[in-house]
Amino acid sequence: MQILILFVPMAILVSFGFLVAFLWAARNRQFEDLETPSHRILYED
Amino acid sequence: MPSQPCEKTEEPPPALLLQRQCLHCQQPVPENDSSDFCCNGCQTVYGLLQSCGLSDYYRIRADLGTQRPARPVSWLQHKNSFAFLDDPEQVTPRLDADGQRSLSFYLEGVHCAACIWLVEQLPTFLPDVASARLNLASSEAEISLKASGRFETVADLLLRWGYRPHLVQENSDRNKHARRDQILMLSRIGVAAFAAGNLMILAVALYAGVDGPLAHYFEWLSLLLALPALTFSAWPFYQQAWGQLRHSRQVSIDVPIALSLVLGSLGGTYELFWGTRQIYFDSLATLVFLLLLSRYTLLRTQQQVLRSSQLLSFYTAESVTRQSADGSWQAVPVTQIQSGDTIQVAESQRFPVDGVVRQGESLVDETVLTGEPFPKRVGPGDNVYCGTRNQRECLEISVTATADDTRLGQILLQAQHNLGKKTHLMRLVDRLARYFMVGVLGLSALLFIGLGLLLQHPQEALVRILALAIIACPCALALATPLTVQIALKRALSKGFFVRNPDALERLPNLKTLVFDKTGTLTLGRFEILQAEGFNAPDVQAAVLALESHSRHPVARTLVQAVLKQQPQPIQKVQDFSVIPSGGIAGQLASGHWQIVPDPDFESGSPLQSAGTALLRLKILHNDHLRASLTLGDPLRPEAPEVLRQLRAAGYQIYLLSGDQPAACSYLAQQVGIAPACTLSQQSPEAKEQFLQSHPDAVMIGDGLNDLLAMSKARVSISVQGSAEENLQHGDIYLAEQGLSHLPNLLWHARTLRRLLKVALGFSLTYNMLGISAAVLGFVSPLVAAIVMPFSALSVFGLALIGGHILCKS
Repeated sequence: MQILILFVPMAILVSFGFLVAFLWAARNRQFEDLETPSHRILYED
Repeated sequence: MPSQPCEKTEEPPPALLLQRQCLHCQQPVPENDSSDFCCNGCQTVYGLLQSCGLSDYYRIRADLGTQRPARPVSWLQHKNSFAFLDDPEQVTPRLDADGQRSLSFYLEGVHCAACIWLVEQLPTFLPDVASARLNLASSEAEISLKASGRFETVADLLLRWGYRPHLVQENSDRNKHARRDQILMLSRIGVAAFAAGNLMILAVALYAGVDGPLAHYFEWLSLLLALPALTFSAWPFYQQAWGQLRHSRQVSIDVPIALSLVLGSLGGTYELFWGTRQIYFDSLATLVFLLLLSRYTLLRTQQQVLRSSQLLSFYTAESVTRQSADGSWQAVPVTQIQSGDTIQVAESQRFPVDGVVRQGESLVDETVLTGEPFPKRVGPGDNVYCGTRNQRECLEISVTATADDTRLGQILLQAQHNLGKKTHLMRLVDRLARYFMVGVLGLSALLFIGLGLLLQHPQEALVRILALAIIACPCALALATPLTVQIALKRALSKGFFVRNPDALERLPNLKTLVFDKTGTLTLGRFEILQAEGFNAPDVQAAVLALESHSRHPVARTLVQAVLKQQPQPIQKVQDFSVIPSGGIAGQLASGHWQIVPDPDFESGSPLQSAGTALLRLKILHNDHLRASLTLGDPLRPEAPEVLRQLRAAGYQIYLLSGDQPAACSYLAQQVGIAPACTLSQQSPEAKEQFLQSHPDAVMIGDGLNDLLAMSKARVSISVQGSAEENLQHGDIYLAEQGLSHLPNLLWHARTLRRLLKVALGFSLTYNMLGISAAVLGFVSPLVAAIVMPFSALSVFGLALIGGHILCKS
């Protein structure tokens, strides 16, 4: 079970990556308009 | 919108099914009209789109089923100069790295996915446009231009498509600030979610019985992970609690929340170092995450409601012709206008400010402020108000008030102020939270004195106090009401009820008396031909068109439009046009001598074949022979009889209050089934006010500011209008959808909300009672309390969401 000492921080590191991605998205105004893109995707070529 | 779960599926009223729809705006084309359009504006836009190869717009729209109906394009004749958009002194666009300039516009009239498609086609149509992005929720388009492009061309094209553009002053501090706050809030939520998720994995391992060095390792890791959630993410709670404790006695629910968080983290840290090593960090982080999430949804809904009510921005974003010091006229943005300036307002433009007429005479449509369908005549010295429309001649006015100081601005400020207010129930919850906290502190003190000092169990007392503090965190209470109310408001918005004052939704279920205004509420508030005899003959129509285009009376306008809609045709020449002193007009055409005169024997309010209030009958004479007669008046809303029948069936007492003549009122009341005893005619605004004072539990349903006095006295006021953006409404609740058909729905919505609130409050109170008793008696350890706590918050969350779905299904 000692391998957990290595695995747990690695798991946390991965999720930290997701956190960074989320913060990046928030900073780039990805959450500002949640309605329009769902329509736009249907008509963009 | 297909993706929206709240899409309405009601059938249109049968009366509408029989009518043909305008090809552009899908509003019913008036009967006995052979064209496919409801007005010339719509026809123009239709032709424009076809000629640009953009006819896909209609195909796309047909696939969707629109959320809001488009409005007829009636503003095309507006002359508006957008030249100031390209003047660097007046407008500063954002500059991109590659030399592109961008501006944001609010677009009046965007309503569905097809509009997104159309607006975002701009680059294929104008090569100078680099990109165009439309945000449907806020109706704001961001348009980027290449270095060579001009915003004026873009704005002109948008206007011709039927979307009136208004410049959005992007770089205002408030906007920037709000945006930064929102990003910060999202970041806090993200960090809390990250911490809570990882902590939960570690906590499961610890609860499952990991021991030895691995357990130590996990515990320290937990502390490390919890730190950002308990400091950075939970910061707003500490900040607000501290602020409230220092500056006021007004303690809101933030104080007990902060207290729980601080005690929980201190307790956890203590346990980690010296105690039984039961740590609660996972529960605390989850709690922070849930609380932040609920506040964020709340904030977003509120912003959405506020944004839709920020109607004044419409009028502050147009260009105005101002007289400069040397006497020349210049187009400037409204923001530069100050009191004392002299400006020109052209025909069919809205007044952007309050002012006094200096020169010119005209008719002003004050429907926005007064609800009065007939335009008012103004001349030098008369007041004109922001938001009303100049219908005839160009006026020169001197400015007396701008922006928020205008009459309209004041009304809007008041409306927004009301919106921010906490509802009665939310205040009640805040007060409950205060007693709650005092109670918990008192219980803790009692526990400490009783158990710790008198019974000599200080260790046990501390453990119980900790359990109490954690389990009694009023998060269930703090989440339940605002969340339920906000979800209800959001649902209301998506259904077309625009709730200005959330209190009204809470009060509505108690009230069983409905008071209707007549003109504009039960009727359409428009002048229309209600009944016609002999009007279809081509020579009669040609004569009416020719004669009435010489007159500037509102009746003339109705007649000209009616003829043009039925049969577009050139206007014939009139000789010897004259106005008859006793009323009416006359003139000589190629086909003979024609007269249009009012029928003196006609009584206003006489019974008709079609429903409505008849106001006037005109006789059309050809060489002194009666050829046709027209009855004009205000037609009844087609859905009104059915809606009132439903309301009566549901047990509501219905009154009709009108300023109109008794004959007209009783005839209309009979048509919609209101008892004669409940029909009050010839009521002055003050009399209406008195009536509502003597009926304190009444809901007033009116059509705007002319019923303002009465509406301000009513427990709840609901305003009704045809189109949201053309008219500013002042009631607690505004029915943004056309007409009255959603009124029963709204009443149902309010009743459901009340039931949901009761359930949510009952749940959180029961939970707290049970939890506190258990903690005081020592049945729950702090650890169990910490596990239960987020579950209670989660279940409240779930309750509110399920409630929202129920509200949706109506």
